[in-house]
Amino acid sequence: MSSSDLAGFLADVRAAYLSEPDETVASRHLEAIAREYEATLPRRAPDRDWWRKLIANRFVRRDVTP
Amino acid sequence: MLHGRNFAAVLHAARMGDDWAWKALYDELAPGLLGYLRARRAARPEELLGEVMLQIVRDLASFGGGNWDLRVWAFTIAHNRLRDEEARGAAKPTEPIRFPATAHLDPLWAPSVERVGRLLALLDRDEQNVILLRILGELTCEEVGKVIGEEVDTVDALQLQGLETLRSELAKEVATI
Repeated sequence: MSSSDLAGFLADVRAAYLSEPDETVASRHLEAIAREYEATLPRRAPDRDWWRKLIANRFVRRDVTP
Repeated sequence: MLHGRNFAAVLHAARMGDDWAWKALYDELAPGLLGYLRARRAARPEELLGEVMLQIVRDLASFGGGNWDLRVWAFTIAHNRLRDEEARGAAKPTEPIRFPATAHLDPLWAPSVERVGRLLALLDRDEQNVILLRILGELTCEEVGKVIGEEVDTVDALQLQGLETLRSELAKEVATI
């Protein structure tokens, strides 16, 4: 794979350095990503109790109750 | 890119915390980022890659753009982390080049990798950044300019100088054979 021309050398640069991370490294990173996500961007799951909270809200309740 | 998946859908799913989307983004970005960090001789390239990905997780909510914007952003984070490392003196430019893990499997591979590292080391740091971001990051000169904080004319000039140095060294190699 030794190349004396410039294009060949640049292809060698790609071949030398471009590789996927080791499988154990990748899985460690993906676990860390999942943990970081949970810590910084809480999952926006639909709130099934939204109507109960709305009724319990005293400011809203004043408007919707006779 | 992203194995044919729609980038907007992947981005949305990642923002919702879907593991498959984060894996898709990781698979997309990690090889180039790791290659760049290795070639720029980061002290612990795998650890730095992990830090870059965590920064993306933390700031993805404020990200707006397409696939290549994400790539430019990721390489900008990596580049800045490298600069911080260099400022702390953590990078060890005098150490022998770190071979990719696969290099150890093939004894014929190592001399070539060593040669690549030796020739790249002849370039100054800015020239290395430009050449490596172009080749490993697959970025345009304009995108490289965004990553390293330089005008596109400066990037063009650095690329030209770097390639000229390499061309001249390669010619010397041929002459000595």
